[in-house]
Amino acid sequence: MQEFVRHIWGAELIWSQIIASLPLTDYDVWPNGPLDALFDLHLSAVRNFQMLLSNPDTSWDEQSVDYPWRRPEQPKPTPRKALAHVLLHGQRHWAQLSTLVRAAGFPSGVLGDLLFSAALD
Amino acid sequence: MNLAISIEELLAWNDEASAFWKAHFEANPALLQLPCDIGGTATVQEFVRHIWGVELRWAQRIAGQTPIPREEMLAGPLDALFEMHTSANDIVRKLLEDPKQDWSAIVTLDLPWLPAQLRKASRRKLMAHMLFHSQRHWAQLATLVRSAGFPSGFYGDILFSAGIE
Repeated sequence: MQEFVRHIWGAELIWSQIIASLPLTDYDVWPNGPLDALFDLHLSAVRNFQMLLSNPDTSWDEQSVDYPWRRPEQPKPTPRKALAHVLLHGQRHWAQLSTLVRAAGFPSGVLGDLLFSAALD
Repeated sequence: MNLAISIEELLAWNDEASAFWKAHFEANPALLQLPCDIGGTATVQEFVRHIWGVELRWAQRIAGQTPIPREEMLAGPLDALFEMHTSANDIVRKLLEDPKQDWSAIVTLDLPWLPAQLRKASRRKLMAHMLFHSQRHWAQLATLVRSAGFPSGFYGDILFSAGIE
């Protein structure tokens, strides 16, 4: 489970770096734990996203970004697609996680649907 | 084009997911009988009914129609379940083509299971919820069938969608 959470937040960080053209933090360098260290991956990603979003010069759709694990047949995404991808990548995995812990006998009570979000009116 | 991902793009992404799973179940019909306990269901087929049925019911609410009662939603076969998805799409696309639609209009939801403070939401929010509800469940389904020994090869992430540039 910890590795799965590491994957979710680590992916956020590396995609934020890809979109921001920052040096990439290699997968091998991501901490394995504890939880706070993993959460720092998320916080670092959020800082990068906020920096991009607050910069009016950020180009969201005029050029593509590349990622190291892209297969040749896969197109390079625009930054806007990459941002949407990583945000929803996390949401899809949280949904899987909630099923997993419930099936293991530990229902989380997470209400992950957008309907329950206070971020949207 | 700007940063925002449009509802039309999300609709296309959602359509890709539905098309994948319909084709996958047509090729592997036994998967529909696998046990499943997500969303109050007992089998994968019931879960798929939940996903597409909920799409239809939300589409109807957004359009100001009375949602089809759950007990009137068909239990199968797969084509009948998929028709709920296509019906939902038809409703939503018609709305999206109408420039007079007010997407910020607030809908009051008569849903006792929903906390009282969340029973008012914009049509825009409901539309996004409808689409993400399905995507979250398709992700869970991919895990479920893989755990049961039948990996689907589903690429559900937006990165792999042809509907979004």
